[in-house]
Amino acid sequence: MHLSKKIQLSLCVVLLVASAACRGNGANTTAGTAGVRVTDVTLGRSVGGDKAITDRTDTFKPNDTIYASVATDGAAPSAILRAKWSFEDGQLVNESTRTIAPVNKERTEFHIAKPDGWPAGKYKLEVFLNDQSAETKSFDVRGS
Amino acid sequence: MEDAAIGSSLFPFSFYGAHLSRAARIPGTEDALPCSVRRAEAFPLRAWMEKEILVGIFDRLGKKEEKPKADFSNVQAGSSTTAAAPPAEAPVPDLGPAAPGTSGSEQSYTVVAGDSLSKIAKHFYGDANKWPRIHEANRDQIKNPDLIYPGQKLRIPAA
Repeated sequence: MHLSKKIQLSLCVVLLVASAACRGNGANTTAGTAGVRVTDVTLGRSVGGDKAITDRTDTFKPNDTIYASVATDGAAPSAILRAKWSFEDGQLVNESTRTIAPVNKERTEFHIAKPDGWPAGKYKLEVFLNDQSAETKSFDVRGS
Repeated sequence: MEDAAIGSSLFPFSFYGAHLSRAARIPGTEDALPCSVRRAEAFPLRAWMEKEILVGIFDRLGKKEEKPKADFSNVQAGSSTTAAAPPAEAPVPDLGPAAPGTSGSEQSYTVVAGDSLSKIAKHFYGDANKWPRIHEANRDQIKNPDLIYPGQKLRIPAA
């Protein structure tokens, strides 16, 4: 009798631990599959109709239009992509936001241009997905 | 000695130190002073010139660090997504008669304000989704299919 009580107690503990583990797994699975994620960010001088970069580079000339192609994977009724472009010591160059409703794999392009030419130096692009930093790219502008 | 005292009062934060210069006037303490102070007392003009040179160098270094901020106020930005297909119900503006030319041969079209590749495709082909055909034919002047400008002369391939 005493032994069976011990076994029952052990079984209860095992069941409790197992149920807690199952709850944890369920939560992780939900978080992992829900929504959309950024899979790639590329920079270049032009984009095609599919919004992919056709002239890829990370060194630009002062009069270039700078394109960033952001690849996303997953589905969501609404997601917010934000591109934050900054110069050398963090000076803000531009910040653009685009709301997307991705169904599967999609690409979004952001571009910036400066009619009087970009100052030479180091720049940074940070891409945010739903206000969470997703990827950062650095690039240079060098004199013509 | 007097010159040094005047120099010290003019430049209270002198490289050689005003308090040390005053101490140097106490009889019997000259030998205990640092060599630089004794030199300042002996050659006040030279000490003053050395100080001015040093101040000039530090000033220039300081100015070099104050790099002017770049002006990004005129940056033009945009974005587009692959899913951004033209809405079917969007009214297609009247682009006027198609450019003269026999059907089955390439035509040309000059972009006007409000045009987009899909609108032009709708006009020439009757199908807005055929805009990539125009884009492909004008790759040399259209880098971004979402950006075409009034006055651009586009080649319109045969339907």
